[in-house]
Amino acid sequence: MVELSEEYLIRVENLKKHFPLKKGFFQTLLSKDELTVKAVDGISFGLRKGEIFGLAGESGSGKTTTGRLLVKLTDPTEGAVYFEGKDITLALRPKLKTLGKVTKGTVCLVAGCGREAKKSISPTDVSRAGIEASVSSEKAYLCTIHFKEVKKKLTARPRLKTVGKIGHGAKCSIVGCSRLAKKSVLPQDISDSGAQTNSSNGYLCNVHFKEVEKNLYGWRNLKDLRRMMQIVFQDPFESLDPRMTIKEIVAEPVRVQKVAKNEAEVEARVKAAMSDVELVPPENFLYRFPHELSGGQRQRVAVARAFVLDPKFVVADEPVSMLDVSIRAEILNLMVDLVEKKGTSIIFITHDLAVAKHICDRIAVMYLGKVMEMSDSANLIDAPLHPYTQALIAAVPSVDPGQRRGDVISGEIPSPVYPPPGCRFNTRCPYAHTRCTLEEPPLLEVEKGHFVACHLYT
Amino acid sequence: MPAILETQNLTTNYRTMRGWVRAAEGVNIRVEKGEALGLAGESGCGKTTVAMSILKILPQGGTIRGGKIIFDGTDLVPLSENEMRKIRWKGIAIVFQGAMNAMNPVLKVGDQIVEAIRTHEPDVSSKESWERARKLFELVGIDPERVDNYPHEFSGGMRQRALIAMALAANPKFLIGDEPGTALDVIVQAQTLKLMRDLRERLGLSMLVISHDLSILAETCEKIAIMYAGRIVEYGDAESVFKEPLHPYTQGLLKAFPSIKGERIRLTSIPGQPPDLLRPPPACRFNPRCPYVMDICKKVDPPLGKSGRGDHLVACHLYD
Repeated sequence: MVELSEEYLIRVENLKKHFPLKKGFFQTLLSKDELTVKAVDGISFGLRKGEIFGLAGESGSGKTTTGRLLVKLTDPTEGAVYFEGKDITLALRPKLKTLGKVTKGTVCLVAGCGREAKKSISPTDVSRAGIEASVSSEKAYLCTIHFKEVKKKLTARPRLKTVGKIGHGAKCSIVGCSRLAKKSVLPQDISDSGAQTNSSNGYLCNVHFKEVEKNLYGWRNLKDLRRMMQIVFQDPFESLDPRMTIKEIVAEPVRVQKVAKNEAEVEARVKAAMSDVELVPPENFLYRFPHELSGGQRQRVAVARAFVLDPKFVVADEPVSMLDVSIRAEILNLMVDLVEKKGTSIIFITHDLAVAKHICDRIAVMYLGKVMEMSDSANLIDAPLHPYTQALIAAVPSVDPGQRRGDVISGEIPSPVYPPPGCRFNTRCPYAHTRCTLEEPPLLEVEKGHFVACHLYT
Repeated sequence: MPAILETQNLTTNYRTMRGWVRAAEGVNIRVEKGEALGLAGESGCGKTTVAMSILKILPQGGTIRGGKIIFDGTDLVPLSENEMRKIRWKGIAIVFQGAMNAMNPVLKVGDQIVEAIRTHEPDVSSKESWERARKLFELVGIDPERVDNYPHEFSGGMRQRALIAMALAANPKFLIGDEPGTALDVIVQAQTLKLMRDLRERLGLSMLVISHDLSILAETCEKIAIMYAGRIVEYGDAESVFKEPLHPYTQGLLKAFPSIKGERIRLTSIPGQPPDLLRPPPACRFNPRCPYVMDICKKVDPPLGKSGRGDHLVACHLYD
């Protein structure tokens, strides 16, 4: 659907994020099902270099969660994020731990990672590790993966190397890399490394990590990744530390990333970033505190902080929705100028399609964690195909008193815990028919570059 | 038509360590019976101060330093706190901004409405007031059974509706809406504004709607007052203010509003910052940001006067 092209700076495939819900006492007794909020439920798209890509939708559509997944502020439940063609989701996968001898029906233990990560292990992962065969056989053994701290200098994700053979119940150890790198080892990596578990004897290999594969971003490289991806938050009144001066706020990423050689260079970068956002002259603002600035100026500081490292990719999460209409245009123009000047790509999260039209090159409309429609901005606004996009456009306010908004769709966005079956929009859609409640429409390209997920067009 | 609410030269200032903050100066607004007036302006221009002055619920340090507020024939300024309490909610009710935070999270929504009813009409029985709370819920389009819910069980749109229901609890004659719908999504916002229009027609309410978002006012009001740095700079019918804005500030505000129709364009904005109200600029307060600034603008304060277009008033030397 999204072509595997190098032109995409960042690309997501079937990205999912389900937040677990805490259950009450009685619910625990009554049901064993884990309830989850399906905030993002299988979306795929790509962001081109130097592009402003809009994510639009109501609150609860999952647009903010998507933005946070892209800059890895939160880990996906499923799916992958590719940055410059490299998978950056991997570092957060769990490891399998001591399982001992396993016979039929033995419970396997997944340890050493968060609950979220554990749940991302599927039975197929285990079988890919060469374990399933064992479980189904009479003499069932599982391999043990030990994580020993050996050498710290190898930071990226290690490659597996076969060393000797191991017998039933023997232990596999992963050595030669940091703890964090080890965490990125997947069960299937072990079988891929030539640990021929399906050989006649059913042996697993001893796993050594000696060589480094540099094309994968490991956990430790998340910091390097952050140099290239930044975020501007919605509320400038809460996203700036009230006890730091403007200079310290803007300088913080520079210091954390250690990209400046000395204090003079830090200050030069801070000043340049502040000039870029038209906080001029920078000297007037450097030693002031956020509470001394107006909302618009604060948001400029937030933009300066995001752009101070010259990132390749910035997520702007409703950057103007807390600001007055008269100031919005300035902040938006500023971001457009920065994109032109620095070639940064931006994910622009908004609920205002009128703003999105003027700012974005392409727009994806989200509803309950799914992309409903995706196209270039003029096309999407002027010729919307999906009934939800049409409803959103009909609800956009106008300053012409003669043009009052007509009847907008009724109801509110359904609960993401129990999304409606079939097409998620069917409960509010004026064109809904039986098929919509049974079958989920796929996101299909109906015109060149115009994708829509609706049964009206299939 | 008689005016239900009128302010004459209302001047409200805040006392601070550094002097008086001139939040509202010489504000004249007039709302006729059954009419809706929209008060627009940037944050910090004094529009919420006007609303709070009318109800006399100014925060500490806020003082009405001059002028009159005439509601239904009586001046509210000299009234005591006890007398004001009779006006609030029964006479003038307010829907506060921030639908998400305006309710008490530890009380049921119904309790909060009943509290409002029984405080202002002590002779209504508890049973009757619950019945009324249910009716109010029906009126604003929420299932009446949900009066027993807590605010967190409501969505943003429902909370906004519940707040409107609460404001209507004591059958007020006049409703002030402070930024209704601004924190809401477009669809829920459209639903809320439609509800407010319907209610106005059905209950014959007069309204003062305050917002920085001109589109919200375009949709709910017949008359518009544009406020800048504590003063009204333009006043007139919504139709004529939006179609032919006279004041350069109004023109700037309207241009800054992105339109969903038409070509993709670069958005325009009003350059500069809103002034510091401790030391507002001399004469016309918009002069540091005005594209048409003349010498006279820095010397003589333009009065809000006739522009030669009927009731359309403007405070600008361009139309002298």
